[in-house]
Amino acid sequence: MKIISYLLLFLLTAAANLFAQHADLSGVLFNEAAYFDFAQASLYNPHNRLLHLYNRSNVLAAEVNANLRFTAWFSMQSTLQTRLESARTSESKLLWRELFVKLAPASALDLTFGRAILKWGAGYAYNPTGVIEPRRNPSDTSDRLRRFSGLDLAQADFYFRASALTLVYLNTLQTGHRWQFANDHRLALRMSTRWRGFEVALIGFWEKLRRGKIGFNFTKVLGTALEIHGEFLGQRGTDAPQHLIVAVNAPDTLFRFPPFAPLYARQRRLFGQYLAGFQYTFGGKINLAMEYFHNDESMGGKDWRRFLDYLLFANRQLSNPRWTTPQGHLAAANLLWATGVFSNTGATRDYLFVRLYSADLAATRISGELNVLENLHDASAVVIPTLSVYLGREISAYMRWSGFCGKRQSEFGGLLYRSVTNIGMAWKF
Amino acid sequence: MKIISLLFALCSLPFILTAQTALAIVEKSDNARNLAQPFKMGMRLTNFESDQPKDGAEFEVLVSGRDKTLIKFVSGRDKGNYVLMVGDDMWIYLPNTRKPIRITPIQRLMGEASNGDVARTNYSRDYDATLRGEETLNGHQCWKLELQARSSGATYRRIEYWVEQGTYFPRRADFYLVSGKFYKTALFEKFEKISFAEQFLTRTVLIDQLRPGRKTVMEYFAVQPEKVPDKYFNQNYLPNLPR
Repeated sequence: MKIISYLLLFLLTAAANLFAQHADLSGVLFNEAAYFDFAQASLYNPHNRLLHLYNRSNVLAAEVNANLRFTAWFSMQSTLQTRLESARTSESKLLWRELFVKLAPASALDLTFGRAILKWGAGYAYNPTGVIEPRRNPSDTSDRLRRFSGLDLAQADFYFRASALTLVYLNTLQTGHRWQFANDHRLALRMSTRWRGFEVALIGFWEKLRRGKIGFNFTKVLGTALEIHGEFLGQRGTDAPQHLIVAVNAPDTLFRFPPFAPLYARQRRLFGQYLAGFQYTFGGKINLAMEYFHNDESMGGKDWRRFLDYLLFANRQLSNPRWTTPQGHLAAANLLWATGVFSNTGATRDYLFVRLYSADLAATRISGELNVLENLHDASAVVIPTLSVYLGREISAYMRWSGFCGKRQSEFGGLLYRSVTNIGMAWKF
Repeated sequence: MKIISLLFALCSLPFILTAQTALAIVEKSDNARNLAQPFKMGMRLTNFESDQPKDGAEFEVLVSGRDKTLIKFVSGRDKGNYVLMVGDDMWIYLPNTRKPIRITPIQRLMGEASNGDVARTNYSRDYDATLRGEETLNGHQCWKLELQARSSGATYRRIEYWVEQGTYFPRRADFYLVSGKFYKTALFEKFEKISFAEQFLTRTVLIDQLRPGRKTVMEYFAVQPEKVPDKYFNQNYLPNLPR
C-alpha cells in the first residue's frame, strides 16, 4: 500500500508540474501528547488489568492538501497524511484521506470520482443525517487529530439557484493484497434548498441487503445572534447490533461469544434519531451551543440499568476460577466485548451536549472552549475544557483536559479513564 | 373629512420627505463600499491592543451583487476557512470539519470584526434611516443618521451613522446590540480611486467600546473585477473550493 501511495504521490506531483494551470498547496504539521489517568474502578477494565493500557501516547502527523486545476472543467484534490503514533510501541501510517477528480461538464453540474469526505448533518456534536460520514465523536467534534478518511464514491451535484441535488454511489475499494471493490453497493441522495431563511435538506440512503433510511435536517437563524437546527433520520426496524443482555431477563449472565445481534431486524416500527439544537452568541464574543440527541437504536433507561448490572456481575466474577476457559477468562472477555456498545449505536438513548467558546479569552491570542456531554439516563458526564494559545500567525498550542464524572455504575463514571490530558501544537503552512 | 385627510397628509409630508432623504443618503453612502460589478479584493485585518499590533490575517474576498460575499482566510490561525454570505444567510466552512456551519452575523470573524462587518455592508437594505441632524467630524461636514434594523439579518439593532455631505462617504458608525449596549465604533478612514470605480473604501478601523484599548484595522487592496460561477455562492459547493 505504501509503495502505491508513494507512486500516486509521484504521479500527482508530476501532473501538477506538467499540466496544472493552478495549484494550491497547504498543510498542517501537528503533534499531540496524551496522558491517561486510569479509572481504577472502571467497569470495563478495572485497575487496567484487562487491557494493560499505557498511560502516555503521542501522535505526530503531517498532512498536505493539494488542489490542482488542469482546465476550467477538470480539477483534482488530495489530502495525504503521514502519521507516527506512539504508545508502548510505535506505528507509522501513510494514508490518502481524500483523492478525487472533479469534472464540471456544465456550470451547474459537478461530477466527482474517488475518495472524498462528505458531511451532510446540520448538528454540531451529532450527525444523524450524516448517512455517508463517520459517526461524529461528540467529545471531539472537530476531529482535531484528523482521523476521518473519505469514502470511495462517484458523485453528481446539480446546483440551481439556492438549491442543490446530490447523488452519491458508494462501493468500498479494498486495498489489501489485491485491489478490488467490496460490492457493498450504497446509494445516497440529498436535496437541499433555502426557503425564507430556512435551510432544509431531505436525505435518503439505500444499502444493499439492508433497509433504507430517510430523513431531513434544517437550520435557521433568528435575529443576529441565535441559530437553531434539527435533524431526523428514520427507518422501519433496525439492523444495528444490540447487546444481548437487553433480551435476557437475568443480569447475572456471562456470554460465550461476542454478545451482539440485530435484535430488532424483523420489527416494522419506526426507529428514529432526533437532534435539536441551537447556538447563541453573547455580546459578539462568547458562543453557546446546546444539542439534545435521541437515538431509538440505543438502550433505553431500563435496558441500560440491566446492562450496568451485568457489567457489575462480570466484574465480581473476574476472580472466580469457574469461568476460566482455554481462550481466557470469560468474565474478562465479556467486559471487553461490552465496550462494543459504544461503537455500534452509542450506549444510551438520550444525551445533552453543551459547548461554550470564546475566541478572545483575556487576550486576542488565547481562546477557550468548554464542552460538556451528559448522559441523561444516569446523569454522568464528560467535561472538556480546552485552552488554545496562538504563538504566531500560523502556529498554535493547546491544552485539553477531559474529566469523566459520575457514579461507577454510569456511562462516563464507568469508562476506562478518570481523566485524559492532551497537550498539542500545530503549524499550518 | 377630505379636508382633515388632506391636512394630515400635508402635515406628514416633512416626515416622509426626511425619511426618504435619509434613506437616499444611506443608499449613496453604500455605493462607496459596494461596486456595481462582481469583484475580488484582498483584505488585511490587524488587531491592536493599547496601540500595539498583536496579530493579523489576510483574506480574499469575492463579491457578486450586493448580497453575495465569499471570504477565504488565506493566512493566520484560521487559514483555509471560508465565510459565505447570501442574502440574510451566512455559513462558515472549516476544511477540517468538511461541513458548512450556519452562523450568525454577530459572530466574530477576527479581532473586533464580526462576520457582518465584512459581509453585510448594504445598510440601506438592512436598516431604516432617520436624519438626526448635522455634525462636523474631523473637519468633515456630516449628516448624522440613526439606523434601526429592518431586516432580521442586520448585524446590529441600531447604528448611529455619520455620512459626509457632498461626497456621501461614510465617516463613522457607532453600533449598538439588541441589549442596547454600545458595542463598537467603525471609522471609515480612507477612500481611493480604483481601476473600475471612482472611489472605494480601503481602510476601516473598528474600536471595541466594551473593552477599551482594543481595535482592529481592516484594509482592502488589489480590488479587481472578477466573475465566478454562481455555484460558488451555494453553501453546498463550499467543500469543493480550494483549501
